[in-house]
Amino acid sequence: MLSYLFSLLIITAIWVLLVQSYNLSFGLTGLFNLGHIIFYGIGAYTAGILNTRYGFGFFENLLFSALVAGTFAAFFGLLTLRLSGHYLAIATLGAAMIATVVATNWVSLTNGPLGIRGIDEPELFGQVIQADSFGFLLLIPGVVVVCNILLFRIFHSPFGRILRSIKDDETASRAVGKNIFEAKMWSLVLSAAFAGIAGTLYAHYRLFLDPSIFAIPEIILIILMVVVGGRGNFWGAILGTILVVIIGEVPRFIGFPNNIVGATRNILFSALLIGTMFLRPNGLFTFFQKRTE
Amino acid sequence: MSFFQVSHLTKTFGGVHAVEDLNFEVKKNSITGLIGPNGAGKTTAFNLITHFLPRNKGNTIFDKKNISHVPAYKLVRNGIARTFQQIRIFPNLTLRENLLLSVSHSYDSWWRSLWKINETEANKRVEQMLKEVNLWKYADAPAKNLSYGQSKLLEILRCMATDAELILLDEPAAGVNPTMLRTVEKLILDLKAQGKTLLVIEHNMPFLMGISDEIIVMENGRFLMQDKPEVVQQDSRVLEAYLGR
Repeated sequence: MLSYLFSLLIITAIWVLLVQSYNLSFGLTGLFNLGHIIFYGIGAYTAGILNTRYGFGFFENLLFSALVAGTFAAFFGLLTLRLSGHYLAIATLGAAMIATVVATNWVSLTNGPLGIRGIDEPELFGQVIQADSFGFLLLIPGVVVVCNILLFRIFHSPFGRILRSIKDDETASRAVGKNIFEAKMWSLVLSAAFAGIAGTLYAHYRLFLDPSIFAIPEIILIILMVVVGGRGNFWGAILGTILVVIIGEVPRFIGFPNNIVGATRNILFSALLIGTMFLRPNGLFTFFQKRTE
Repeated sequence: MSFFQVSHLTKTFGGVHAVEDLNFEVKKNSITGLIGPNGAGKTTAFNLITHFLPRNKGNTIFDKKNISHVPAYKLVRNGIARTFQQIRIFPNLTLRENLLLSVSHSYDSWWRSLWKINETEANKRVEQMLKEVNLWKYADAPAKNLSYGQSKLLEILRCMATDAELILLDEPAAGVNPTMLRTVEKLILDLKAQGKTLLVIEHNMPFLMGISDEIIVMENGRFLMQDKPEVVQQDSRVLEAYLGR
């Protein structure tokens, strides 16, 4: 039971970072990017490859996976950010499909469907922090908290305000002197860098990676978490993630047979989404906010 | 002396000449009205001048600088701001944020805007502007809650906040009640008093004739005439353009 709760906490923390990173580009800026999972996967694979082949440690990997995912996002942005709305969604969904194919078939780099095994557990001051230790429970959420502080700063900076103005009305934003392409690009790059860090956390927790990390259904879950909490709402994304993770665990927790856990989970997620749309279309976090309207 | 000059401005949509060889000049620190029947090409001309539409040809010179190839977002930094025929405010941002976005264009590089924390001066300016038009009490409410007329005011305030020298207003008086209209008029005259230059599209003739120094008339995408309001009102070509032969 304890190890189950332990694992749930770590996974929730990683999800919080991944969802918050998506909240920056999708929630705050309004980029309907369905390929966000690529950046998470790239971060994880960067950490896995650098660790198993070149001996890079956990903390070096945090930096390098953010850099690699961010750089890839810049290239990705050059190709896709002239598009908007459904066109952007289709193009980025296509990119996510390509990512799975590449991860499966570029065997010399990713080891294909067999994946990357033997990723080291994090080390701090020469001490290995084992994945089931209390230290690990401090390390992963610690990194997530630091990243969330940075993200909070971005959300509430004048730059964050520019991103919100772009979501509201691009033309008006341009009319007050904002460089829309540059702002969208940086939103995507920063969002990808944080997703890359989340990928590193995952790699050093699971210690094994395979192409399923790029699974497209994951993006649906990420969107669900952002929408349930409140698009563009910093605290909402955290609330949405925690709610979805908890609700997703209910069928298993109350002892549903394994063969119907997945289907029950989907029914619960759908009910949660429909309930949110009925009760609070701007996200459940608005329950805690002062009404100004 | 010409402060702003448009020459040979042309835009076609397929075979339709929306704006054809448009030429006019605007004097510094003046209010110039731009009128013409519906479909004359006034808003298209605004969109071409501010690069919200690509032009087929034509030059725009502002304060001796050729701004023909300056992208839309850089025009504000070059001293030109505009409003839109269909109001374009940021509905989910507060009034304060709507204005801060314009005040803050000077530190617009993403990196600086990421770390700029102290906005005390900008906030003071926003407070002053909102108090002037009696909107201060709504400063922290989303702009979508404003009435149509208040939204128009906010859009004009946003132009003012940019410190632009040339302000293009597209139908500032349309759909505005008489009380609000007086506020809009005062704002426009205050801007002129501050040394700004204004180019105003408007269908409310008594309002426009009352505040303008000069009027430019367009018809079928072309320049028809430019003169003082009292002369334009008596011109047979203008009457013909509005009322028909």
